Amino acid sequence: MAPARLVVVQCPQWSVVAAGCAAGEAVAVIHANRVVARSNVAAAAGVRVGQRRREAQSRCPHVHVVDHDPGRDARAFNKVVDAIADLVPRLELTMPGTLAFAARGPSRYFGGDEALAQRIDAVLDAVLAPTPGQPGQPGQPDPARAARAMRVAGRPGVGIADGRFAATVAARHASLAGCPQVIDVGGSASFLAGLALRWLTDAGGVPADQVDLLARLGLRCLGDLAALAEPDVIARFGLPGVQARQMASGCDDRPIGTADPPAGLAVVNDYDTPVHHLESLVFGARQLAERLVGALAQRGLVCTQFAVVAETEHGESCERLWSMPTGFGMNAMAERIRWQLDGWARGQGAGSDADCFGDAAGEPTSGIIRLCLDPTEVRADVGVQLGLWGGRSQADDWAQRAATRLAGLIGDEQVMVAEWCGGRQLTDAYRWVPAFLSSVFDPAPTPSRSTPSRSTSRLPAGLAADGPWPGQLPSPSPAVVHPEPIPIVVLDGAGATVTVSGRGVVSAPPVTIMPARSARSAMPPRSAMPARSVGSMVAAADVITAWAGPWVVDERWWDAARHRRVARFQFLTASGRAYVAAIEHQQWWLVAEHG
Amino acid sequence: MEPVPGTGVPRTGARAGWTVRNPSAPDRLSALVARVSPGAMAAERTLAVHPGLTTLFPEGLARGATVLCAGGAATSMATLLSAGAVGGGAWVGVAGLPTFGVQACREAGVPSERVVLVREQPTTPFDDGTWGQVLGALIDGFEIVIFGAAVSLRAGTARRLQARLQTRGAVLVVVGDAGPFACDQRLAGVAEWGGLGDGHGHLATRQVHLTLDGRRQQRPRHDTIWYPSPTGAIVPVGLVGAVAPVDERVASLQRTG
Repeated sequence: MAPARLVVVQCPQWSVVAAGCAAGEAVAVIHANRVVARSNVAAAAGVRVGQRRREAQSRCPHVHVVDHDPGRDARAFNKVVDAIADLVPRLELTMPGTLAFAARGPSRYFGGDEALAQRIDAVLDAVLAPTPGQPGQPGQPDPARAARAMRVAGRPGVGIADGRFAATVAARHASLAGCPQVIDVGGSASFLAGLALRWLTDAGGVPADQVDLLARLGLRCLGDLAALAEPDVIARFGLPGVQARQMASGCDDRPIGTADPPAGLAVVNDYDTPVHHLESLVFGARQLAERLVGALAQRGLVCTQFAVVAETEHGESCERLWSMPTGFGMNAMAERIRWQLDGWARGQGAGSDADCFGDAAGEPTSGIIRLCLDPTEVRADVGVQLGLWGGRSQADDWAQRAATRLAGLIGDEQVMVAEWCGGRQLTDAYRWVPAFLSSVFDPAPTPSRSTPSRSTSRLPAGLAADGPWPGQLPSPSPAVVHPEPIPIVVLDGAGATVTVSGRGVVSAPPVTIMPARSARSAMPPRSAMPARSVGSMVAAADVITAWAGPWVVDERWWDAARHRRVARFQFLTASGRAYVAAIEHQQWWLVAEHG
Repeated sequence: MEPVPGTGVPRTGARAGWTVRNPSAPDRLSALVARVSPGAMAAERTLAVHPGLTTLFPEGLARGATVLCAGGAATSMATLLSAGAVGGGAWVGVAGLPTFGVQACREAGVPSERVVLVREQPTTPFDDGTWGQVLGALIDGFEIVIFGAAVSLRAGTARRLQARLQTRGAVLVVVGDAGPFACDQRLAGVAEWGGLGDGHGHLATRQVHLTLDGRRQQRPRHDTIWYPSPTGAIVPVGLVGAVAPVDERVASLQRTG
């Protein structure tokens, strides 16, 4: 059976358009510290989708960072959806910025695929770039915002082809070429054959590592993949591979494994009195979604596409298809319903902020009396297997969110994570790096971070983190390590300062340890830490009951600038405290404390 | 080599004088399941504690509680308190402790990649309002929050934070001075070091005499733990003869087939 002929409309970088930035402004939309969309100006400065925020800011310092808000994107996209819904029924939406519909009926009505594509393109032009002379045209959202869309993030593209993937690729091409792309019936395979494999990731959502594997196995373009025999592909790559092959050969109709749902699963809410308030409607919709997901789960199914139909008292109705290849959970479903109802409630009037039905200028003119969720495509719920080890848990997400929020609150440099970098001194072995620089919160964590057994890429060349580091103090390590050592005085029985000779001989057994009231500035100035840090200071003179040392370290004697010669001691005092102290250039320092 | 009962694995590391307790395979599995289960539900209102602290916290660490760590080993004990929860997938937020030692934290069983530290600049210390926001964010995101600058908070902020702690189900570990916080439990330790002589040896073992006092407790609980023991383990002193160190029980790989 030939795959269905689809029209795909795609607005590139829709989040940026929805954020409402000015033309010529560099904008990046950020989600979880990563760029999800960027404006043309930012792209020209080197900002790429998937970059870290900091990286994007370093490429383009004046970039305006906007938080990702799917609800805002959906609201803004509703104008486009409404305009196209005037021409075509049953639009299918995946994400804000992309919509699809079957070409079969509308194509005949408008006189062929080419005419249909031109018609849709004209409508998009009218919605997104109205001529300045006619601001009050019906169906026009905020004209100032719409006019920017083209310059801000590129032109929306319309693509018609057999199969979903081919139509999406055609829409991308249309967006670049500036005119709709219509692929002839049966021509999807030859259209795709010459394209690079990365389109599978860009337009088809195939994981990048799988595409990388295909490329490493010698497949250069989509045609190579389509030319493989299906049994070979399923033997080597399993179902995901078959799906990729179907995409590449232009015959992917619907996600693999999906089927028409059994009859009688639609859930309907009939309201006795028309509901005007959006919030109460969304609340009801949530319960509907819960019922639908529950009913499907009982049969071991998950819904990948469903229709939402809302009807008002006056007979107006709004129907949209929503699809998600991974399957809808209850929250995702409720969110889609909210987007649709929210957009409808605002009506086609000029961007009114109404959240009541019947207030806006255009449709709908009264409250909702009927809300129906109808699954149109389901598949067996094989579930999502989370990794047993090393997967991301909810705690990880929470922690990442908190770290991002803290960085926004007090500054990037003050939220730190530890990184192993090796060294003999206590303060050298680990250092604190700002969390945004580190890979802790990356979706694909590098296992080498902070693992002493591997070298860290961030180290300067020639500095090996995984050395054995002889001369380190043996474990247990002190729990309190002063980032800046505190000057102290260590006296022997006669009241003289204890010294260590060049050969590592102690002048006399240390007897008293006391804070240096007036630290001699023999050393380069080091700022002392605030006194209230816990258990930090040698408060008063204390008697040393046991001690060991000196353990002399002569580090980097070949480098005059970084040469250090330090003798370390451990002291146990009468008050029960254990200290790690060091003497360097005849000045005693309190390095750490077993607190 | 005689096999360990129930596992078929040859016993390798049983030292003379050690009574190696060999939990049967189902026991081990159920212990493992409990460890790798994806975090405790908020309904199970406790977090796991390190095996060394089970005598003091038999039910685990109550979520929403504020625990004060005082005495000679306050920072170490705060780290050890978080070790059990981190094993179950929790994250630790550390604030107001610029001197937090990472190596000691790893030795207590808390992987450093699960620790996020908030450090104020020495020149611009945080005021009460900033601490309130910072701790609020930490409590929202981390299951264990270790805080060492309680004295710089006002009573109202502390009350608000503790209310948030209850809702979120995190545990606040205050190190040193409780300041305005109303602590549910107070863990005080006195450290007794071994291994250091008069000019020789090095700090090798520590016995911490712990006292746990709580508002819901009739009388204080006492326990003494090795932190670390001569073999490097963290165990209650009473148990040191009964449990072999973990690495001793790992059977070496054998070539089969």
